[in-house]
Amino acid sequence: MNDERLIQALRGLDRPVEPEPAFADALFGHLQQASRPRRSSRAGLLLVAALLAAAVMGTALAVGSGLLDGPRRDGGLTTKVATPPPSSDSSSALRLVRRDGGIVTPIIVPIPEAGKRPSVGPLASTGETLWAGFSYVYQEEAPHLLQIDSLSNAMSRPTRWSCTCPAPPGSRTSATATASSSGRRLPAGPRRVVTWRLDLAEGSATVVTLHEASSRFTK
Amino acid sequence: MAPTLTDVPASGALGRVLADDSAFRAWYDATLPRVYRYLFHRCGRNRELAEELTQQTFVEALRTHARTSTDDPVSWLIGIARHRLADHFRVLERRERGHLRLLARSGPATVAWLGEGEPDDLLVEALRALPAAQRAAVVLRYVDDLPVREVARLLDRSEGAVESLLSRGREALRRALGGER
Repeated sequence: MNDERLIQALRGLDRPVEPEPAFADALFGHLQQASRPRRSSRAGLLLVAALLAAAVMGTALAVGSGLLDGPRRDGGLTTKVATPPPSSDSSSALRLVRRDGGIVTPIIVPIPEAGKRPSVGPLASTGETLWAGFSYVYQEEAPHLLQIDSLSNAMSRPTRWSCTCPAPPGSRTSATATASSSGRRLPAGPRRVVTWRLDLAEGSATVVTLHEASSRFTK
Repeated sequence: MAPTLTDVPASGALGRVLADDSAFRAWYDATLPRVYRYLFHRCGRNRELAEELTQQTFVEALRTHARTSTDDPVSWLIGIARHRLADHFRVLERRERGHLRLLARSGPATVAWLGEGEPDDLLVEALRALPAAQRAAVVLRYVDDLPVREVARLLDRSEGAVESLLSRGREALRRALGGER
C-alpha cells in the first residue's frame, strides 16, 4: 500500500454514525442542568442590579426630601462664615462637640451693622443635643421634638428661626417660627432631618448655615 | 421532524437558544451527530471515548459560547472537539511514556488486508496500534486534512517534529496493513 492509497483510505474513514439515544438524552439532560444556573444567575444579577438601583434612587430621594439624615463626616465643621468674627463671648457660649467628645468652637458670624453687635448664646439648652448633618441640623436623641424656646433662649433676642421640616420625597416644605418662651414645639420627629436657618432679627442678623456632619451643638 | 443544519443557530446566538428548552433541544439534535461522528472516527471508533469527548465538547461550548461569535456552529463545535481530541492524544502519549513504555511492544501490529470490503476496519485497528503521538499527527493531518502547521500548533510541536511523526506513522500503517513501502 503506497502513501497515496493510505492517505485516501484515511480520508475515507469518516462515515455517518449516530450516537446512542441513551447517551444523547443523558448528555442533553446534563447540559440543561449545566445551563440552568447560568440562566438563573444572570437573572439574579439583573434582579440585584435593579434592587441596588432602586435602593440608591430611594435613598437619594429620601435624603433629598429630608426624610433621611445626610452623610456625616467626623471632624468636619460646621458653620459657614458669612461675616467678620463675632465677639469673644459668643465663642465661649456656643460649642461644637464631635461624636468622639472633642469640642470645637463654632464660628458664628454676625452680619455687621452699624451700631449693633449681636450676642450669640448657646444654641441649645443644657442637655439638649442637636446634630449638624450635611446641610442639616437634626435632633439625635429624645426628646424628639425640639423646643423652640430652649433654642430661642440660646440666642439673643429677637430671634427668628426658620425650619425646613421633613417632607414627602420629592418635595420640601418650610415652616417658620418666631422664637419665644411659649414652649412651642417644632415638628421635628426622631432622627428626622430638620434644616435650621438661624436669623437674628432687626439688623443683627446672623446666618448660621450648618454644613458638616458629626458635630453637635450643645451647651 | 429533526432539525436540519440550516436551522442551527450561530454560536453567538446560543445564549438565546439556551433560554428556550425546545430551541436548545433542536440545536443539540442538529449538532450532536456531527460532533459525535467527528470524534468517533478519530478516536479509534471507541464509543465510550467518543461519548466522553463529545460531552467535554458540549460542556466547553456552553461555557465559552458568550465569548465566541461564528456563523457556523458546527465548525465551531468541531474546533472545540478537535482540541479535546488533541488533549486526549497528549494524555495517551504521557501514559505511553510512562508505564506503558515498560511493556515492550512485541513488534508492529500486523493486520491482514482482506480486500475492498473491510480495509476501513483494518485501518482503524492499525491506527489504534500507533503510538499516540503518531496517531494524533496522522489523524489531524490526513483524516482532518489540516496543514502541518496547524497540526503542529494543536500538538504543541514543531512542524519538523510533526513531519517526522507523520513519516513514522505512515510507515507503521503500511507495515500493519501488510503493504509495500
